[in-house]
Amino acid sequence: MKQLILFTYFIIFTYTANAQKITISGYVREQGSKESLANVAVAIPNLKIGTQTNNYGFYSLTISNAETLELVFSMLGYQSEKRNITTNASQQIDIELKIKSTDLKEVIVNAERQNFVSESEQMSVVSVPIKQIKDIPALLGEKDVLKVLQLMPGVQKGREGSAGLYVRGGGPDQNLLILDDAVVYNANHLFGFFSVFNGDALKSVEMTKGGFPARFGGRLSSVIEMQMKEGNKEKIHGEAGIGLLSSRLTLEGPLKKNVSSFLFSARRSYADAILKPIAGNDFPTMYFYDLNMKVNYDFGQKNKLYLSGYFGRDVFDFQENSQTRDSQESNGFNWGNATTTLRWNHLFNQKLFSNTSLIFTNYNFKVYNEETTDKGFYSLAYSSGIRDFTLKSDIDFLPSSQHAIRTGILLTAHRFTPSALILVDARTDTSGIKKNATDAVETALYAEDVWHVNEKITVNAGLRLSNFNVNSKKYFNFEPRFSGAYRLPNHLAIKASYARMNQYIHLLSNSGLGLPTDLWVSATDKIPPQTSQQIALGLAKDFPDKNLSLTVETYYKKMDNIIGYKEGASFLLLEFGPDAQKTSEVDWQENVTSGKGKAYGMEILLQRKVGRLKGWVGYTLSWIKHQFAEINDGKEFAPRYDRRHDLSIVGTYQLKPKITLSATWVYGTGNRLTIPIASSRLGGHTNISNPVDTKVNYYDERNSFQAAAYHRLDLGIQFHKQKKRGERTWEISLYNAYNRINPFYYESAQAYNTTTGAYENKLYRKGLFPIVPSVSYSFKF
Amino acid sequence: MKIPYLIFVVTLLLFTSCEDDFLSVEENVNNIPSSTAPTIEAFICPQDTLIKVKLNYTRPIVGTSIYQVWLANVSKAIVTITDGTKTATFDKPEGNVSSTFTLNVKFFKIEAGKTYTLKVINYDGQQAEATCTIPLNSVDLKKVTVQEIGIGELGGKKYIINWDDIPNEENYYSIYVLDKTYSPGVGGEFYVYVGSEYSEHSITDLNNDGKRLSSTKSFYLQKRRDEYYGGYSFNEIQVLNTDIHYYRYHKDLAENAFTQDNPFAEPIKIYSNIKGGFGIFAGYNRTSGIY
Repeated sequence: MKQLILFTYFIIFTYTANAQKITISGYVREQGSKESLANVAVAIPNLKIGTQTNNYGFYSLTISNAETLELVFSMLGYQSEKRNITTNASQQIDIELKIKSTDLKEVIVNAERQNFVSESEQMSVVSVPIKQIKDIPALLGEKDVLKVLQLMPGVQKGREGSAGLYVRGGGPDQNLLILDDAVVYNANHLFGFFSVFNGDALKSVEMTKGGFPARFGGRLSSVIEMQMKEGNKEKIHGEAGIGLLSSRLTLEGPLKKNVSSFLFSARRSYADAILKPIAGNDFPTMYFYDLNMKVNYDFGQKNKLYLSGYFGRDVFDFQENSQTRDSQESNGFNWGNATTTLRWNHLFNQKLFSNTSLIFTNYNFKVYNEETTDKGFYSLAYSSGIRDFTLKSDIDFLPSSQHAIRTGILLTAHRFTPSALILVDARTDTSGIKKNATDAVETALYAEDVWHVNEKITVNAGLRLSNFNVNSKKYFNFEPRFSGAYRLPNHLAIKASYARMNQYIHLLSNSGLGLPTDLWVSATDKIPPQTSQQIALGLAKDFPDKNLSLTVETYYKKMDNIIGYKEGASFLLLEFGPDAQKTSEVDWQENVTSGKGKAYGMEILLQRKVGRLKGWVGYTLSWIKHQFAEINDGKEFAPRYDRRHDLSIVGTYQLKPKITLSATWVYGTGNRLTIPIASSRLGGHTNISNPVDTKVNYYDERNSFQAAAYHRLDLGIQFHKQKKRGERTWEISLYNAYNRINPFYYESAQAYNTTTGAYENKLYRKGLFPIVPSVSYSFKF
Repeated sequence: MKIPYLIFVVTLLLFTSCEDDFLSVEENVNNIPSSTAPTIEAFICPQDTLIKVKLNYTRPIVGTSIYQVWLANVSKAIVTITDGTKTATFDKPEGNVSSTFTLNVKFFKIEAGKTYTLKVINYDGQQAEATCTIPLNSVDLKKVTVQEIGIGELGGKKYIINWDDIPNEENYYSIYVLDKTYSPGVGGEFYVYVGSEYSEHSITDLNNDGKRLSSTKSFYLQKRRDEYYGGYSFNEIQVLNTDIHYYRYHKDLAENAFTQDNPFAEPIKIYSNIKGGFGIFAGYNRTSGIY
């Protein structure tokens, strides 16, 4: 490994030293806040060459010596900047782009704009501007990044209200959610109804569904990369909001003007704070909160340091006091994530940029019962979790305008604790910890090259080598990656991609709800890592005069070694014995069964990111099949989220400068469910004359029932007003505007038919959310 | 400010008034089979004096309830058992209160190692059939012991049951502890009835062939207690060497009981060896002793 890294560095430095051309490089930032801007198109139109800024706003173009050049910097939502350069030597040009003001004029067509979908070699990537996420109506007014991504083609939602993502037939565990390089394992607040990502703290969100570049790995189905804002480097800014569910506050500003800045963002729900005084102390304590923090320091052109962190928690606690027994009992559960990322950007020279990150991430879940009586204190807690330490280093090497090479290494030390039982019993003077922890080391090495072969062809070819060591088992895998585009006239491109992915961790989930009881477990010698191969073919077309982009993609994905709970298996990895001493852990490996899956389909996305009317229409036609040896008698079946048709129409419209209208309509074929076809009462073998029979349901094949179609209309209206100290916004929204009872689950029951005089068995569709109006207030200064 | 305030109050009211009916709608379904099928529960062993077959019916998830019709007609069913050479017909239940068909072993003997086939022809003509084999061996009673593990929550001593696994074969065991009462009647006859029973099912000898096995559950055990009327109560311990049908059926029933009432749990398909119906026909070989 060490030799390989040294060799890579050697090649890079040799290449740099021998260069005979001039290099123009620099950083692109937002005017006013000095926030670095990623994915800004940097082009030299007369030479027909261009590049993009990386995640830290850095760009580099190496070209043949020329006396005059015109450099164009452009990005959606920003006014383009041009620079005429008269030079024959390399130089550094830093640029600040100005945000386009919101007015009622349609955006002027920018012919030089290079970040058209037809210009990129990458396919299967979706992004939604953060500003637009804030305009789209949401349940209880809680703006949610993941729920907006659910509206994209190829992405299915789970149950009603859930923030879980099912991408191209993959499960919610197959999405790599990265916040400032740190993996977030459980992205759910309030049992999955809301995600943990606070839009106020985010700068960008990008989701990759296929054709993964080699820099991404570790999950089968998607990568959702989120960057936190750095914080305004010029002056203090803030944003506060009050909603029905939670309130939030964000502050950002310079620590040292133009050199260092901070960002602090906090959010907390307060249903318990309002209801507890009304309902009394018996009302359970239940709330969630999250904090995002970031500080950065600019040491000049060469070095930059960023420290960012996220901390969030959900708490449910039920207190019970008994005066007669003189006891106090507390039951509850809580879960949360914590992440910390320290990043160091270093510019070796104009062509060589590096970022090194030290990352910590921790997720844990705990359920407990505590009792204090006159006889003493008793506590039984069951917890599970995952903790990672990661060292990651990425290098961007831009030797010429034709090549953009990225290479890097990753080293992660995982600690999985699927179950830990902690008993403290002062009454019998016993205590103990039964902990089942597994340590594993994951490493990866990758290299990729975006190669502009000629004016028409661009490819990104790469290779990722991944390695996973657990106990005495070593897994080593090659993951070739490829994506390419062939450009045709009139902003049209044909694209193709192939990616092989490996996932060394599994999620044990038998609810599909994204509950905190879902357990992360390691691949082991018995349970091999999940693997997938995906091919995709597509078309990308831009309509610059209408600010529209259209993508049509087809894909085929094959997944192996995916796991599922055996029928009836439980998340609680305990087997209760006759007494506490005999309570033993159940090996989770005994609870699961390995299988395979395949998914294929077609996606259409017509998107408009700028203009008075913004939004998209997304349609997905898809099929998903799973097969497990020990589920459904080994026969192939369609998983719950196999939806044949899925349509989303999302639009925001700037009616007047002070009024924004928004609407979302979604339609999806009903989920596949297993519901009983009949029931009876059974008792088993017994020696007594009047045994108690229990109800037993009989099922047809797994998921043979198709639930009713899901459809919903959400409406929103925002009123903006410029006040002396900032801008205030009132938002009124309606979730499920025509009160559709969408299926959450099904239940059978008997009803008396007054006409026939007989009892009838009926199947009832149970909904979760009726029409839900909400209002929120926010203030930005 | 007034309008948002009003909406806030309306929202709160909406949430507090979300009764079930408000979010429930009858689904018009036509893709669910709505027929019924016979359900059978029958467990046979060489040590029993009476063979019992309990019939039930399946309630379709959608459609008119047939309970009244079934109750009125269940006794019209014909239940037979055969060992391949000899066939016997079960006695019908008396009255309209039971659905248990019985057969005295005087007329049909159950023997270890033999295979039996049970047939049911329902009152509506539906037929169901199942086969099972009685395990050849039973556990050695001399090796069945109890081991005290402490005082239970109810104050009595608790014990686990130990026994020797039958070597060189796959075995599945069930344990029963019965509270039995012996009551002498007038004229010399007597009655023995089971007041309560405690059991542990689905114990395998996997990876423990021929070794000493223990129950995971513990049981309250008491020595013989004399009653004032001349009778007495006692505990009987039973170790059942069961067939795989018995094992799989009870394992699924236990899991079903655990996940019942949770609409989000993955459904459990209860094991059945009945062709043309649901339920179980299983055999076992019993060892029993009095504590």
